Amino acid sequence: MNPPVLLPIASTRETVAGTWALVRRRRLRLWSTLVVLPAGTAAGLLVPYLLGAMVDAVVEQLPVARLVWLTGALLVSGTIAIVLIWWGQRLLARLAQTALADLREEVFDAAVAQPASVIEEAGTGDLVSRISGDTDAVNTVIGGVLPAFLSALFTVTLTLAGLGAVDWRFLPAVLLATPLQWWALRSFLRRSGPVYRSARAADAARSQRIIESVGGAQTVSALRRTDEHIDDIAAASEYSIGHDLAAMRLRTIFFGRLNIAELIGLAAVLATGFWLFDHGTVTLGAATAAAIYFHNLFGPIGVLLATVDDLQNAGAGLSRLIGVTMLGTAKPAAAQQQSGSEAEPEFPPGSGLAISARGVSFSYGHRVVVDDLTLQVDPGERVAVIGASGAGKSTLAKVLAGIHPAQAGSVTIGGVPIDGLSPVELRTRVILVSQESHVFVGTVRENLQLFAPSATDGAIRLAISRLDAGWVRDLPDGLDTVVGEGGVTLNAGQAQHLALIRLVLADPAVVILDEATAEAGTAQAAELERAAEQALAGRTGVVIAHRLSQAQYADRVVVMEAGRMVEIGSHDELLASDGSYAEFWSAWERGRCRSR
Amino acid sequence: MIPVLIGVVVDRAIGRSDVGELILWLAVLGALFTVLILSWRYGARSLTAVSTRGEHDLRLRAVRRVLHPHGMRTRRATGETLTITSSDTAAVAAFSWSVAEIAAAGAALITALVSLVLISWPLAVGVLLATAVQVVVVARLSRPLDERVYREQAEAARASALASDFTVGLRVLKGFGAEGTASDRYRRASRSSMDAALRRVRVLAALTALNAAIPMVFLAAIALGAALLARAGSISVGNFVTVVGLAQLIVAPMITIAFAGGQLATKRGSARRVSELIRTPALIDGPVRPTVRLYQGNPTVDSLQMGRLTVAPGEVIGVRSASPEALLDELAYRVPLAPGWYRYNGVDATDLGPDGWRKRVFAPPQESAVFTGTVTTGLAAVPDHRLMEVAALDDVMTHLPDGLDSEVGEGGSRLSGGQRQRLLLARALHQPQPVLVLLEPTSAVDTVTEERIAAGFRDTGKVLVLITRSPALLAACDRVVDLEPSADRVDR
Repeated sequence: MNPPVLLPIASTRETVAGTWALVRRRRLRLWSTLVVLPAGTAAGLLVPYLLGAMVDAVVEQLPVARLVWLTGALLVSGTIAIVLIWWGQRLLARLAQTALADLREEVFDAAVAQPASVIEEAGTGDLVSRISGDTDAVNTVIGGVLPAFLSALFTVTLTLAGLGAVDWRFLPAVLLATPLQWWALRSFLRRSGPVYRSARAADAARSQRIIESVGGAQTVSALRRTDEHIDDIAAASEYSIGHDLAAMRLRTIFFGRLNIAELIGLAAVLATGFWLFDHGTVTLGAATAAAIYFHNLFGPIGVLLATVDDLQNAGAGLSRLIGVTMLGTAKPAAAQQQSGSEAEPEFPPGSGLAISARGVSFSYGHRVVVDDLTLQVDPGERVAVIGASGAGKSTLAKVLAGIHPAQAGSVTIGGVPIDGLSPVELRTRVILVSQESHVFVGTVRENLQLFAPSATDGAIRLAISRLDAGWVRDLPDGLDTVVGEGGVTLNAGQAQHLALIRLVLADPAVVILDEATAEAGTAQAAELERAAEQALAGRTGVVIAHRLSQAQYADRVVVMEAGRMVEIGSHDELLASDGSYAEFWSAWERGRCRSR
Repeated sequence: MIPVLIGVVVDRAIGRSDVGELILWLAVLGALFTVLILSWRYGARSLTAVSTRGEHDLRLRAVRRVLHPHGMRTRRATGETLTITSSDTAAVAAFSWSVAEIAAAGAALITALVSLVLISWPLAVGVLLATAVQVVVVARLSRPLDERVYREQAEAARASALASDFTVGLRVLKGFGAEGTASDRYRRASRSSMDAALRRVRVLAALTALNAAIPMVFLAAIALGAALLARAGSISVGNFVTVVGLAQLIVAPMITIAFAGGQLATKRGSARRVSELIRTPALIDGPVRPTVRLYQGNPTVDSLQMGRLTVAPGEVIGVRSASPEALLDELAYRVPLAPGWYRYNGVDATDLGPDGWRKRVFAPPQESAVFTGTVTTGLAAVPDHRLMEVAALDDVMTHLPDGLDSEVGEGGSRLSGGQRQRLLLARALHQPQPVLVLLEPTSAVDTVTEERIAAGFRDTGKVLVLITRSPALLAACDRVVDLEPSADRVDR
């Protein structure tokens, strides 16, 4: 099969545009941050100046009052600097954190808006590593590096201005270091970019392995492959560590070059001071000040250039996050409606709607799974679909439910084509209960309300008793029992039962039931079949069935083979025609008789 | 050292306009830089090696604990485990960097102090006092930060876990059109994660401000004191300049040292989680809990029944049970067992231990995991065509594009339910254990295929325990036994 297609990654320009769009929404906060932080830095830079003034005061034997006054000024400017920086940090955090929260929520919205197949093709690990790993990486940078970067930037700018004020001829000496710094940065960025990108990919691969092994821990230990899985994770971890080491090698080379640039600059500044003093242009104190100022630049310049690296790293994270949002969110306005005022469905309740497929086809890549299939199901009718595994039954279910858009032909519900319906309108009409019965982490109530946000406890209890799911009440904390991963484990049958309760609460007109009772032990299967019967009452139902008892009581039975419908008719008609259905049925009958 | 050299250059070369001295001292400056560059280069590289190694080892310890055959008494969501094994281990390992930073700051501080003592001991005492005050005050006040950092990380982990849970259940979400509600829930988690981050920043910003304020006040005091001493002639003007320079120079290391507490707070949170995970008690090693309801009555009879399976190699036995999952968990030794319940060739399961038992009995969980890879890797053994036929996997192969090399997708997502179940069945049959326990192994396949599979079960040469209610499977068994729940058993 095709290699997994990863989710898109935004280009640099798209990343910048996306980031700007996020920041622009809070323009006021942005500008106030950009005023407050530099003001704080400027106030802080007054401190060395005031210390210099104290030296002068001592040398010139000025009165003690002057020294006290200077000390007072020093305290005031220091305090102002501290307060402004404190305020600026908070402003910056608010700006960055709210923007990041917006971004990750948009990523999530975009992710859930995609067809499940897109996410699964790319691997759940890819999305999870983006939505947690990359947001964490971006978060770390905006929490720690960004403030440092900005304050270094302001310090460098203001110090250079101070150096120029001593004597403009020092500036060319400073600039002597710039080409080397520029070259060092360029060659570093050119080489570090790919290393960071592949480091991220290596991290994602490692996460994927950990998720699979930890999620399937029981299987791993039953297979006695614990060591193999640990070795696998170890190899993935080693691989990602190799990237860390490579990145550090690049960084040490980069910093070495920066140090050489500093040496050149410092030597040039000292030589300039020597020459200017020799010509009597500057005083000894000014020459000293220039050298000290330049030395004071080492730290901030180092921070500035070093954080470019972290910012770039965060940029890689951002481009992966913004890449997901580029997939687009389907009709966010409609999604919002769901929690608020929901338009009453304009069809009579309790009868169901007709669902029909006309010439629908669907293929995965080049593999045709549903092939030019036409089916009309009347309101309230029950149609069972049977066929061998891989005949395309589940894909048909997804196409009918509008989860996979039909690649040819059309599906209509109540006469309305489903691709014209908003997600909310679509789900009040048709719901698919699929083979995968995922129990979400949270309480039973949360699990049910996820699918019917307005369901009250009363409605939930009613649904539970209608579907005969007394076991829910017997859970340790009833509806408040935490289930899902890390909570109380529900068995497959209970998970399916829960899915049927969700169905009743969501109350759609058409239900597509895909082997919803298949996974359970057969004792439970009978119970689940009854529950499914209850859940389907008053709705149009398409049941993908393996237990032929489900077919026996359906109004009509469809037999699928290799993506096509090969037989259709009532149970009795199909038995009489002695085709594939009759063969399935006799196998089923034989099994039942022998066990008696 | 560089500021000192600058002073020397100014003093000896510029002050005296001596080109020879200038060249000499610039050369010394060059030598100093070389030492600086080389020590940083090798220091940083070896530190990275140390911390990444540590991270790797810690990660593997954590993973090994999670995957340990004896199980975990407290279960964690996969997302949480992922955070602990990825980010937390990295944070803990980065501890070596913090130590190096603190050591460097300490060295700088001591150098400065020694210089100060040489000039004026009261000033040195003042600096020492200031540092002590700062370390104590900041360490005290950084305690709420510790808590906030822990909260922030916990909230972030919760949001991530929610996102990963929703992503895994995406098909279900979409089937029901619950994307909107899921988004709302994620938004709430994301906002509370953001609030926690902001609370942390608020504490951090206050702490940073305080941390800067204390050295600032002391700087002012020392500058004033030294200025007065210099004015009175107790110390020279040159010494005064040095004192002011040093007082400025020690601000940074003072902040680093005082902040070490805050720095370490993050790591402490991570370390706590990693150690909690690694120290999670084993599920099976603990005292046997009387929760296994099936055998509370007269265990010898049942253990003999289960024991009998081992004396008849190649026998296929059907088991009907009202608690099939509980039975499976016991047969897989995934739950604590009391001695005398299960035996293999007369050896008690508890004597064999979970792994020893699993070496002989293969009992995969009902919702067995399919791992990303090809069909061949999914079988976890060299493919045997005969066994694939028994599992009716040969039919599946005709539907897959690359046969045995077809990718099955994450968790087998590219296979249908029936195909996946047959792959799992084939995998079970390929395992070397002589005893195979399967719970409803054909629930997702069609009846014709089920019949075919049932017919093939007799020729596997293994002891097969089928916990099932399927008439077709039970009909194919040599014997069918009823193992009903403990309630019946206790009464008897």
